[in-house]
Amino acid sequence: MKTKKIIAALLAGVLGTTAVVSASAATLTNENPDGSTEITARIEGAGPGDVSYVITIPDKVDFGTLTQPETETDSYKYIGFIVVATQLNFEKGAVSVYVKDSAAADGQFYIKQKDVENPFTISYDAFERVVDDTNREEFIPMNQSGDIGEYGYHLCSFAASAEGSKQDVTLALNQKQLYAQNLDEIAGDYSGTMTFHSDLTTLSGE
Amino acid sequence: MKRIKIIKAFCLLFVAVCSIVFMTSMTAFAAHTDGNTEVVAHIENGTIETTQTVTDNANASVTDDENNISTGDMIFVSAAISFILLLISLFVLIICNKYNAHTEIRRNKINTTP
Repeated sequence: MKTKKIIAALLAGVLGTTAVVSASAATLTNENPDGSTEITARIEGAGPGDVSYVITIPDKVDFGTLTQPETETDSYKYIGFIVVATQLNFEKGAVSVYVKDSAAADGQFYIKQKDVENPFTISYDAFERVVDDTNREEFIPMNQSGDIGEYGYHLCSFAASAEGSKQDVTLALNQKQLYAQNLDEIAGDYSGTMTFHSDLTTLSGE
Repeated sequence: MKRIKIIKAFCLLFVAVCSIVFMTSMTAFAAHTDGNTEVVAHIENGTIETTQTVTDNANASVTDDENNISTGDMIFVSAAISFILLLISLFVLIICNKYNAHTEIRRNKINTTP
């Protein structure tokens, strides 16, 4: 009898632990090591397992090793990725995707030095297209447009018929920010987070 | 008797694992309209650019393993399978307990019979 009580208490503890695990797993974080991150949503009345849309974003993008320029001139490093409308299971409307740096209050995008008391911060620009040095000056990055809403900058919208469509995104980091900095102090790993938000807008009467 | 205890211990462990998998699957199965992409970089100590490299994508990379994309259908299947395994292990536990109780009753009857 006593053994059964102990076993029952242990089982209750294990089930309680699983509740904690599920609570911590509810948040999508940049610690997901398993590749792509998905943004999904579900409409009412859908069967189990059905989602109204799946938008795929990369889990991580890497600028690689940054270098300090010898002179105080622009030295951009670019990295591109795509946002994909993997599944669109609705008939009318569109899915809008927004992006922002949730840790920044000024609407810009930053990566911050890790594991130091006074971290050095480096900003980068985000373009909703493919950009390089030949055309960068022709376009205004999202973070300099000033059009930031509650969920961030509007990146793109996918209509119901656009399943499989891809949106190019280019991040541009000007290494001129490293000029005249003490490399001993700014050396190390940097990390930042782009937070994507999706919103399904259904249009009536169509 | 010892074998029953081993089976019960194994079933309890199995129940615990299935519970964890099931609860995590259900959570992953929930819709999430927000997602994060980590942006990383690295600065080496004492690295100074000696030539003006204007466009340099050599070290840039994107981590995007499309083989690991999980759709809502797949998550539902994994949640259903783990739930079924959980039920089976609980069923085995109940049977073991009943068999154990039955064996105890028989042993008590043998011991009390003059």
